[in-house]
Amino acid sequence: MDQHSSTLMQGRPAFSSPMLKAAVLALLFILLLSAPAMLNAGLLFWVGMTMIQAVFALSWNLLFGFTGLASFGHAGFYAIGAYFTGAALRYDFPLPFLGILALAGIFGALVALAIGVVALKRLTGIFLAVLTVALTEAMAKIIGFSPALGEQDGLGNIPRPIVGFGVFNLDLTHSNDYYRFLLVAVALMVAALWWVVHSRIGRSFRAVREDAERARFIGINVTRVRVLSFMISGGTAALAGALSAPWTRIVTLDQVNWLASTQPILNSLLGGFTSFWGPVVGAAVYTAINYWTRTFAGLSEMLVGGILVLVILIAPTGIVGLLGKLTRRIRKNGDRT
Amino acid sequence: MSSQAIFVLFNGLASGMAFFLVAAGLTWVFGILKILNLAHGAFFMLGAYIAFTVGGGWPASIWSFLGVALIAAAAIGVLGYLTDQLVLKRLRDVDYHYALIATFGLMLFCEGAAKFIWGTDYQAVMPPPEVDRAVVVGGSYISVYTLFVIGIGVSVFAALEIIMHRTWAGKIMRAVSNDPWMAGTLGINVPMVLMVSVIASFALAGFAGGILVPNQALSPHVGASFVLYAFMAVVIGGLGSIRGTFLACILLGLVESANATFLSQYGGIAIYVVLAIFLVWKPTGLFPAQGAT
Amino acid sequence: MSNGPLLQAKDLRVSYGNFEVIKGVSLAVQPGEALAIIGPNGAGKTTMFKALTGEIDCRAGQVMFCGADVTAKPAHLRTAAGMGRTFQVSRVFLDLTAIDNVIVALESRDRNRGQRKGPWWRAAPAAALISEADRLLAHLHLGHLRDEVAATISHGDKKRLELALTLALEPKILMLDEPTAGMAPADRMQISEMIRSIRRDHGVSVVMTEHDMDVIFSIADSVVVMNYGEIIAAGTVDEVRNSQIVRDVYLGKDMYHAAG
Repeated sequence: MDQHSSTLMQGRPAFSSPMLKAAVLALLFILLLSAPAMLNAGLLFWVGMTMIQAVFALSWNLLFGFTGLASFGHAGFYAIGAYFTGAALRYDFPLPFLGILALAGIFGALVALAIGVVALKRLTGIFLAVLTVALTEAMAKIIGFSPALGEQDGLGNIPRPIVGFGVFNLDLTHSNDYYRFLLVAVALMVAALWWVVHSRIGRSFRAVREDAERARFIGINVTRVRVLSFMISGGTAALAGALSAPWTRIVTLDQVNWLASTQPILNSLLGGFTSFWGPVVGAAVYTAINYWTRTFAGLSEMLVGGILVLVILIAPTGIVGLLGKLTRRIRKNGDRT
Repeated sequence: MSSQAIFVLFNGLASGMAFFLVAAGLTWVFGILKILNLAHGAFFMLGAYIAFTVGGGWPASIWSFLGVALIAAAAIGVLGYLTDQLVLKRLRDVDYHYALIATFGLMLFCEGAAKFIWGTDYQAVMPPPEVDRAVVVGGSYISVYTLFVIGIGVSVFAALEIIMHRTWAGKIMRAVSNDPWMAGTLGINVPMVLMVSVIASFALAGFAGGILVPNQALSPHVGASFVLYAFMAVVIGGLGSIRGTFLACILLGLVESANATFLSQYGGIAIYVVLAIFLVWKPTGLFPAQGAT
Repeated sequence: MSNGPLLQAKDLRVSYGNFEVIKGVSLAVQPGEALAIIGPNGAGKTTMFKALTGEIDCRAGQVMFCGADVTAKPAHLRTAAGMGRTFQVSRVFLDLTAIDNVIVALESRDRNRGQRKGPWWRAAPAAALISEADRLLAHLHLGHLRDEVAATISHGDKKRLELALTLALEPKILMLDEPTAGMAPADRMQISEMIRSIRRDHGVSVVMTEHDMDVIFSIADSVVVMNYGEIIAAGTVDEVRNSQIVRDVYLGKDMYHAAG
């Protein structure tokens, strides 16, 4: 397909053929598109949340897996989008829904820019981790004191929108319709993130992750690259949150606390942060675990926490990395015979 | 001093000492292992649950209360040994991101286990009868339990200071913290020092759990809310510095207490403002330590 | 560009805490010149090197590059202005393939020049860039390692890959921090031959720190000798080789074992 063999592909020969990969993605898209016909409303809700969590995880992993920065307060960005969209729909802001989504993304990116300008120059590693956690907690406190945002009870009764396209209107008030809109939006965002990671920008991100000092000495403005990555990541996380508000129809403080921030970390690590698709796989696996253990209090945390520790200790590249190793081994054996 | 100011002062000091009891072990392990143990709060929580299970909701006397706290300390110390052998030991030479995420997984595991064993309902433990009353200080009613927590916090700090700066064990500890390789060539059994530090830090978390359990409604999430303050204190104080952490805890406790009294409609916000100011103004903390990146 | 020196340090001072490591050093590199900074371990060579490239800040003094004051300029801007450097322990992007390493450098160069080859929406690198990267790899005898991940290639190959990254920037001056450190004697001669040919072909200036006298004498035009953060001698290779003071502080020592 392309004469330039990217390093990214080498990390995961599990899907080494681009044709195969495209076929798998197309099949997945068709399956997801026909989900409303096959699943009941409860299960469909889980599928929709998994898609949102997948984008959220991808946004986090752009930062961690591809730029080498760990945010432990990513739920803050998600909540910015969710609360903004929830309030805009609930209080009938005179804005088209697509405009609301765009604004939510821009807000997320601007907050990331502000944090980045103040902090990223000096703060990496543990300090960035603590700062992002603290800012998210501070935001949760502020929301908890804002009557317009529902204080401790959350912002409920969020109506689903009707999207106007000028000549025709797209009525998304039924959950099946909103689900299809969500699927298309998620697919577009995943495609956009894929482009970022595989483009010239993405290559400069990876250079910074690999060795910031070396990157500086090939003329890369490391601070700018980090801030840019933080902005794209924050904007995408806010968009994921924005898409979630009409889906869940309630936005609560549970989506802002620092445990919520760990969801994308879990998904990325579980699936494998070295691969672009790892966070998506992780989100799906996590949902499955959560779904099967939902009746036992605490079991899902034990499983997920335990798996996370095991992943770090045994297979830091996650499920996708393991698959890659496996196929490589099988292929090697095949070559020998 | 007005009675309100005295109230703020004592409550602030008590919160600060409560933060310190959790933060001390955190900063100790960071100083020695260079691992920020996100699971520290979860072990604090487990300590509180063990104290609740062993001692029940109504401690008979302050001595049995302290005894129960020591049992919790011992139990968590044992868990610390297991955690060190199974997990932390393998994280010593990996990228700090992995260590952060692995200890985070550990935290989730502990919280899940607590939910699984004790359920999600809130539990309550009363302070022991000797300290379950109030005294008047400068026109303000101060609970004796508050004074008790302050006393325990200061004692733990004094003990750590003496151990770290006056004893042979402390010298070894600091040598390992500064340069484990060099310490190893001098014949110090570095793995042993690391293991003992981890066990001691965990035991401290368990002890804190036992001492502070009357302070709040006990739930599997009590650790998460507590450890966040401890993190802030550790970062403001300078990672790995027990003195810095102690001062930062007092500062945060006083800020939190003043915030709750004078700006109660925005309770809990000021502490984040203080943290943000410190992170931007002094990103390496009050007492910068080696290995803090 | 002015006709003066390409790179110049004026009374440069660097301190670590209260400890002054570089005590007012001045030097100049003319266009096309190759200057070696030598001196015993701890003399301040590497610190001097870092101050010139912008890796660390200096406390006082001035660094001029291409006639402009770059003292306050961060490393990436000095790099964009034409300073290419290598590290003592070679640094490349370990998780990327050799070709991707070079492509990242080429793209950075083009970005700093405000150029872009190919349409903006195209994710993969432009064909022109890929062939340029292939040429560079071939030039440094790395063509066969094109698709190998950098972490898996040998020490000497990494050194050459790093040189390829640096050359991709088309620098006016090459700053080489111990280009042959940790190499076998045969590899040392190969690297110095390579540097000579780069100078021949591209006319770039070179500043290097180095322990190996054979390498220095085969590449450098002039030499600056540092000791305790000061310049104790300077001149052409022959002048320095015959200087008694240099022999006393430096050449008498066993440099191979001192190299650290």
